[in-house]
This record gives sequence, structure tokens and C-alpha cells, in this order.
Amino acid sequence: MSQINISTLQRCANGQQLLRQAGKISRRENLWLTLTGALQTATTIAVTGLIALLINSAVYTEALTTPVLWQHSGSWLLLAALLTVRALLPLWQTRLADSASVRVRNRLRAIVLEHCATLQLSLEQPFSHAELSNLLSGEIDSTRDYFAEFLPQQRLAMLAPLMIIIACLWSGWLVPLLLALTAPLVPLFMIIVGHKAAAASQRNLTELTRLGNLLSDRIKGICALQLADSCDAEQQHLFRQSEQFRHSTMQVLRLAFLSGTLLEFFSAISIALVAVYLGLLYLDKYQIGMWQEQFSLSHGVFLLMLAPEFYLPLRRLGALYHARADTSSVATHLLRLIQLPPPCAVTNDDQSQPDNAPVRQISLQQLQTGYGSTAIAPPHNFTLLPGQRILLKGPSGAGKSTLLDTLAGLQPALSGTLLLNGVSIAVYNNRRWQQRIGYMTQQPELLFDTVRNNLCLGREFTDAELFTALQQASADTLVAELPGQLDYRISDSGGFLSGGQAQRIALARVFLHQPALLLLDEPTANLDQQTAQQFMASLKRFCATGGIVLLSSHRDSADQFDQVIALQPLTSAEVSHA
Amino acid sequence: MPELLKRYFQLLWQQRGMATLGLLLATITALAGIALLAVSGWFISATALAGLSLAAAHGFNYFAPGAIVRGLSIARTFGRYGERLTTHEATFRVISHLRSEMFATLAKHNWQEQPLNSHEASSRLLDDIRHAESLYLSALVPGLVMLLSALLYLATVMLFLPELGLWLLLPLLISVAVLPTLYLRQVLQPQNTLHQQRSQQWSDAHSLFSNLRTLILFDRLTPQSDKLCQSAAIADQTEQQASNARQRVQALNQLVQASMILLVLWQGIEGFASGRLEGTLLLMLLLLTLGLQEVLTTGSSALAAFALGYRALERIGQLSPVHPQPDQRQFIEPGNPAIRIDIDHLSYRYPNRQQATIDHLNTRLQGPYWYWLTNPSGRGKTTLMQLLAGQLQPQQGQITCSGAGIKQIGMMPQQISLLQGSLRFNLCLHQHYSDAELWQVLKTVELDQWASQLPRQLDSWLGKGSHQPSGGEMKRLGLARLILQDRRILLLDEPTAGIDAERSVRILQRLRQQWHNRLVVISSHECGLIGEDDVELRL
Repeated sequence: MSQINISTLQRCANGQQLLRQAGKISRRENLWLTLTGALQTATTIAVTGLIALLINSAVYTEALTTPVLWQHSGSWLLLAALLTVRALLPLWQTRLADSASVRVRNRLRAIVLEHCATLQLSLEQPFSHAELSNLLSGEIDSTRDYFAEFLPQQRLAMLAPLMIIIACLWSGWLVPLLLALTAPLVPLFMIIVGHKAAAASQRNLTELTRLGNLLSDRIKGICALQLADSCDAEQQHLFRQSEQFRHSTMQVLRLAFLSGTLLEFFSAISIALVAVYLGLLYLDKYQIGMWQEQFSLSHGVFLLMLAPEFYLPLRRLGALYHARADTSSVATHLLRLIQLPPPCAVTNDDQSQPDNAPVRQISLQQLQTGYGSTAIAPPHNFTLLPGQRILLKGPSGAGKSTLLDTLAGLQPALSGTLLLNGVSIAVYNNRRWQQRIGYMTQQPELLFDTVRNNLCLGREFTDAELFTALQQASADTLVAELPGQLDYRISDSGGFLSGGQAQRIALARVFLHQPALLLLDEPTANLDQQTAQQFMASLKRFCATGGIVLLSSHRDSADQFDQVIALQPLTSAEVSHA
Repeated sequence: MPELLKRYFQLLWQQRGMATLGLLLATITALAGIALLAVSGWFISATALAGLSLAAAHGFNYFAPGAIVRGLSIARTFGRYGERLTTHEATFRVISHLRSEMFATLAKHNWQEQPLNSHEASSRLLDDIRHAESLYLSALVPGLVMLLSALLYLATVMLFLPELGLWLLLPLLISVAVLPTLYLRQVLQPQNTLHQQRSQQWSDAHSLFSNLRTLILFDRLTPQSDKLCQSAAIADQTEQQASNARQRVQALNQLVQASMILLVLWQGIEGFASGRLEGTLLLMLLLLTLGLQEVLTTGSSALAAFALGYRALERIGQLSPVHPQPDQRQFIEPGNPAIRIDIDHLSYRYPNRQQATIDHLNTRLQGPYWYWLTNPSGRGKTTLMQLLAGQLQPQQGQITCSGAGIKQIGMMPQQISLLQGSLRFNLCLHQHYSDAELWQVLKTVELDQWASQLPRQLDSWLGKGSHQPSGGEMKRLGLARLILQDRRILLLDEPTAGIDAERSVRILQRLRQQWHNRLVVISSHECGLIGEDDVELRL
């Protein structure tokens, strides 16, 4: 079994190619699915043949030998057995198809997550959180029909008609020839009509999604519309949009349904042709297309019953076309994500720093921050000492958050060096360094999980320790009032945590883990004055134990800090000592 | 019957011409398909038997059956095409009304107590809307076609071979009634479980991507990824089980159909042997059965589709309460130039909380003053705002407004929602304002520069993938909306969070001029912005 890895998928030129590669993940199941599909067709052929012989023996042939076929109980048992096999085979096929699609989807998820782990923060620019969450929890799931049904059916649509043509050769050559001649016409017409229809239905699908999105968007923003007294107007607007959509869709569908109708046409006309041809043959109007000069009813029954079976796999495939259209848009998203280049990491071999050497000094020398290759602010030059509280000041866009990201080792520096206790250290992706960092982001980061898990994050603490940290962040009463207290699950439907409350819990987490360097991005933006003062006091206590606090804000006054670093987007950073 | 379902059928009744035509064409198509097989079967058996004797072969009129066969194949082809077009047309016509009316149903409800913005609630709603929309197309049409075809089939069989008809009664009943019911169970039961598990998966994914920094620093990226994979695997498993269960019902269906084939063959041959059935009709009856089976297979999921649609409409209907809470605010003397709000013994407790968030509040707010709510978070600032705006209804107490009508209270919520659409749409929200008015307002909130940088200025598309305003810009957009709405009582929930202090001061300065004779209530943490004449209000 081959294991498709990320580099194979990254080389894909487009979404279709990616889907082909991804389909190879379930190669073994696909093989089995093809085999069972072939077996299914073989059973159908056998059932048809047996029925033809039974009818023939009962109605057509003179009873020369007794008993004739239909009087043998064996033939009935065989027919029952074949029919049972044909009825039960799909059970196995579904099982196979489902496990194939699960395997493909699992692998795709793993590949995406693996790549996300290398991309880290570079993910944030091109993708929003919602897009990523939707990709991994909705879009990849929605490819089920494609991998479970479309892919296997695609092969069967080739194989099954071929088997039926071969089976028909038992009787004569004209009917198989007829089928064989229409067979290439079907894909040909599918290409002519289908390509247009596929493009049209793709467009239609986009329209439908857009309309669905419009409705969901308006439902999400229903409050704004209610406040503006505009719900009635919006209702009319939605109606007009829907009507517009109806007109455009029906235009598209008139074309799109043609391809399905075409298959229907071939299927119906082939039955009619075979029936008329056979009828005239029996009436001795002509002698053409059969191996024997005299042939029995069984041949006629056999050919007539197989004719519709010839087009059945193609018709099934046509019905699954939507799965393909849905999946190719998912594939485009996937490809865009996995082809994102990981950040160019600075070599990371300098881990000579002892694990827990106390921090005596952190110096930045011409440290240039930025995203990708774009510098975001002038290079930084300053020194941080234990016990210091430092304020990072500057207008939005001056690179405050980027500097904090860089210091936390989350973002590679473009150039310059960072010295820890006078020795140069590469902090980017440096696990040992990152373990000593406490970081609170502008939007407090909280998992949809219990308060306890949010605080501990995989490390062990007692409840007393947790409450001490919560108290430091003045969040102890808040947590005590929650149902279930530390076991309260934070979720997007709770409504229990306001922005300020979430921030205090995130702050408690920072205090709990006692970092050497504490980075805070706009921590007081959502805090009321009283809490903000308590908060500054607790920072002071934290620094008294030797910690360093670097806090970014565009508001706090400088007098509570030991050092103020003012960032300007264009001019050089100024350092002043308070 | 749920109100919306009744409404659905009303809408369908309005489109009865198209809907009936669709149903008719669907039936014709199905019957033509079955008849095509049957007549072809009869034709070749008849010719084959006639061919045995030269005289019979010579006298056989093959023109009529040939023409019928060709006619049926054409009827089937064009019937299918017409059926698809008409059923879709009818569906879309109903959907247009249904969509907008479902929106109206939702708009009647206040979403403050039970938030709609959670992923689970909104994805459920969208799922439901989809199911509701396909009620006619995937439930009514295939279901009715199945019933009708089965009845006609039975009648035909009875005509030629009554004994066989009796034999087929049971398997037909199972195919038409029992199996669809079984199928329905297999679909409905796991649907809820799967929905919950997929929601869990979404929230794990969301946890992962919105906590990147924390997870990297704590080296928790891998465990969280594993957790996501695990919850995806659980949901996949449920999906697999459900699909297996459905397939089991389908297999049962196939077995019943196999038994029908055996019955027809056995009874047919017996009938022929005993002279009750002509030999030419044996193949016809068999092919009739095969033709019907295609229709039965398509129809077996109709009941499940109906149940899904029914439940969906029921759930959407339940979202809006049967007895909507009446607005308890009182409005007196709307023409009075002096604006006043009297709050008497006001109490409010959230349904899922034990303590009241607002407990017997008594206060009086008077224009033209600005009132500042500066309490610590979690003490009910937002709740009071929503009570004043009528978004929540108190359990006790009374709010009386004088000098302003019900349409004169405007609010800027804490969370400003951006709607998909142009900047103009996001400002106007379906009301009409001139370009000059819009630019004036943008200038007041200092968004004019930002807006003039947009590629198509006021007509630029905002939102995901194009121009996503930052947090501070969103707040200012919310302010701009409120200014345009021009209300006499203005409620502002955290209007300056995320806006630079200097800019906040400048914007508030302008607002003070603009709103000099109105009543303004602001909840904010930023005490530095409180003006000299303003009143600080503590809850």
C-alpha cells in the first residue's frame, strides 16, 4: 500500500490532480470495489441468462426431454442464490466504499494538520480562523460522496458496459455492435453537452452557495438589521435575490439536464432498437447479426434484458456529478493551503543555552521584524533586565504585535541578533526558549474546553495553585460563580464569558506558569479601571520575583513602567528611561 | 401540523399548476419506462412464437407494436427532461417565498438570551433550511410516483393473472410501506448524533486555529491536532454506521425485489403450463416487474426525506416563540421635547443563571445628559442596554420613556456585525441616504480616509476575502450606522474599545455636537473619556 505524502500533493498543478493523487490513498479498497462491481455485473449477466433459459424452456421449446429446465428445482435454487448474492453484494461494497473515503479523509486531515504545524503563524495571513476550521471540519467531510461513490463508479462505468458487450456476443454480433457504437457516443456527447453543462452547473452551484451564504450571513447579522428596523426590507431583498437566482438557475438547468436526458435517450432507444430488431428477426424479415440461423427465444430475452443494464452505470455516474463539482472546490482550497511555503527559518542549532539558566539580560541588536520578507518597522535596539516593566508604545501598524511574536519565537526575525545573557540565541521555533515565555494576545486565546484545561494546558497543577493564579488576575470570584467552576466548559454558545472575563482567565494562565519573560499585547483594553489597577499591581508583584514584563499598549501612561519603548512605523525606535 | 409546514403547502398550492405538471410528467416518465420494457418483452415473445409457423409470421402486424415502442422511448426521454425542469421550477418558486418567510420568522425573535451566533445553532439552522427546501423535490414527487406506479402495476398484473397479483401483494406492501419506514428510522436517528459530533469537531478545529500562539508556546499543537483528528474519527464512524444501516435496509429491499422476480417467474410459468396465461405475456410481466423496481428503489428514501423536511420546518417554527414576549417598555408623551427614561424596580435574570444580573434597579435618565456605565465587566451593563433597547424583557419592573417613541431608541451593540455587501449597504442597511450624508458621517467617525482608499469607495465589497475592517474600524462603522439612524435615545455599548485614545476623544467631541439635545447612555471602561457635564451611573 502506498502512502501518499505531502510533497506528492504539493506538486499537483490543480485541484483535479490533487483529487487523483488523493484517490490513490485508498488504492486497495478501490481495487476491491472494482472487483465487487465486476462481480455484481457478472451476477446480473448470469441472472439474465438463467431467466432467459427458464422462459425459453417453458414457453418456446417443445418438451422433447422431460423434465425441462424449469421443472428442475436446481435451476430455481441457482436463480434464488444468484439473486441473493446480487442483493447482498452492495452491503459489502458500501462497507468498502465508506472505509475508503474515511481513510482518504483521515490522511488528508493529517497532511493538512502536519503542514499547519510547520506553517505556524504564516497561516494567519492568507486564511482566517473560520476558513481553516471549516476546511477541516466541514469541507473535507463533504468529500465523502466523491471518494466513496464517484471514484469507484467511474471505473465501473468503463468496466461494466464492456462486460455486457462481451456477454451479448454469446448470441450474435449486431446487438453488441449497436451498443459498442453508441458507447463512445455517450462520452462524446457528455463532453460536448457535459462540459458546457458542467461549467454551467459549477456556476449554478456557486450561485446556490452564494445564496445560501447570503441567507446565513443575514441570519448572523440579524441583530444589526433588527436595530436598524430593516428586517422587512431585508426579507424583500432576499425574495428578490431568490427569484433572480431562480431565473439564472433555470437557464443553466435547461442545458445541464440535457446530458442526463441524453443517457436516458440512449437507454430508451437501445431497448426500442433491440426489441424491433429482434422482432423482425423472429419474423424472418431478414437474417443478420446472429451466429445461428435458427435461434431460440432465450437469445431475445437475454439481449433485451441486458440492453438497459448497459447504460445503468453511466446513469449512476451522471447522478453523482454534483459530488465531483463539490469536491473540486474543496480540492482548490486544500491545494492553496498545502502549497503555502513554510517560513524561512533561521538555522536553529544554537541551543547551547542551559535549560534553566536564570535570565540576567536580554538584548536586541539591530533586530529587524517583519512578515515574509517585508520589514515592518525599523530595527530594534534595546535591553531588558530582570525585574523590569517595559511599555511598548506606538500607533497601530507600528509593529508592536510583530515584535512580541518575534520575541516569543513565533515569527522569524529578518535580520539582527538577540542576545541572552550576552550570548546570541536563535529564538525562532526554539522549544526551550518558548517554554519560558508567557504571552497574552490581544484577543484572549481560550480553547473550547474546561477552565481547568485552559489554565493547565497539559501541565499539572493543584486546584489551590489554580485559584491563586486566578486571584492574581482577579478572576477568582468570576470562576467561582460559573456553574461547575473550574470544570465549566467555555464554548461559543455559552455567553457566560464577556471579553474582559476571558482576558482575565487568559491572564491567570500566564501567572500560573511563571514565565521568565512575560509578553502582553494590549492587556488592559477590555478591563475596567479598577481591574486594570489591580492588574498593574499584580504585574509589579510578578516583577519583584525577577520576571520581565513587556507590555504593548496605546493607552497606558508611562509612569508605572521602568522603561518605555516608542515604536514608529517609519522613524527609528526611540528608547527613553523613565 | 407545524405552522411553517402549513405555509409550505400553501405555497405549493399557489404553484399548483407547475407542481402538478411536474408530478404528472414524473408519473408519465415512470410509466413510459415501465411500459417500454413490458411492450418490448411482449413484442419479442410474440414475434418469436409467431415465427415458429410461417403463416403466423406472415400475418403478424409488427408496425403497431414497433410504433408503440418508439413512442414510449421518446415519451420516456422527453418526459424525464420535462419532469426535471418543471419540478425544479416549482421547487425554486416555493423556495423563494419560503426563504424570505423563514428569515421573517427568525427576525421576529430576539436572539440575546439564546445566541444564534454559535456554530452549532447556525449550522443546524442551515441544515434545516436545506431539508425544508427539498420537501417537494425529493419527498413528494418520488413518493407519489412510487405509490401510483405500484397501484397501476398491481392492477395490470391482476388483469392478466389474478393469482400472481395476490402473491405480490405482500412484497409490494413491504416495498412501499415497511421499508421506507425502516429507512426513515435509519436516517433520523443518527442525524442528531452526527450533527453534534460534527459540531464538536468544528469546535476542536476552531480551538486549534484561534489559539495558535498559546498552543505553540505550550507545545500543545500536536495534542490539539490529535484531538481534532479523534473527534473527526468519531464523527466519521457514526457516519459510517449510519450509511451501513441505510444500506442494510436497501439490501432488504433488494431481497424483497428478488422474491418478486421469483414469484412472477414461478407463477407465470405455472400459469402458462395450466393454460391460464398466454406465453407471450410471461416475459411482459417479468419486465413490468423489473421496470417497477427501478421506481421502487428511488422512492424508498421519500418518506425519510419527508420526515427530515417536516422536522426541519417544525424546528425552524419553534425558534420563534408561540407567544412572543410583549414589549414591556412604556412610551408616553412622544412629542415632549424633554427626553426621560424612568427605571422602576427593574430586575432581569438570564434563563440559565441563578442570580439576577440586574436586581431591582431604580434610576432616572434625562436628556440632554450623557450617562456613563463604568462598572467592572459582568455587572450587567450590556444587559441594561439590551433591556432599554427592548432586546430583552425584564422579569420585574418597568421602563418608561417619555419624549421618544418606540422607533426613537437606537443602539450600537458591543459586537458590530459586518454583513456581506458593499460599504454603502453596511451603512444604510436598506434605508436611503445620499452620498453626501454618508461621507459626512464617515468623516465624523474618521473613516473617510479609509473609505476613499477602497477600490470602489462606497460601493466596495466588504467582508471575508476582500476588505475586512479591523476591530477599531468595525466599531466606527457601528457608530456611523447609529448616527445615520438619527434616533433621540442613543445606547452605546463599548463604543471606543480598540480605538486610539486620541481618536476616541476627537470622535466623542463631534458626537457631543451632533447629539447635543438627546439622551445618550454609554457603557465603557474608559473613564478618561467622561466629560464634565456627564453623569456616571453605577449599577
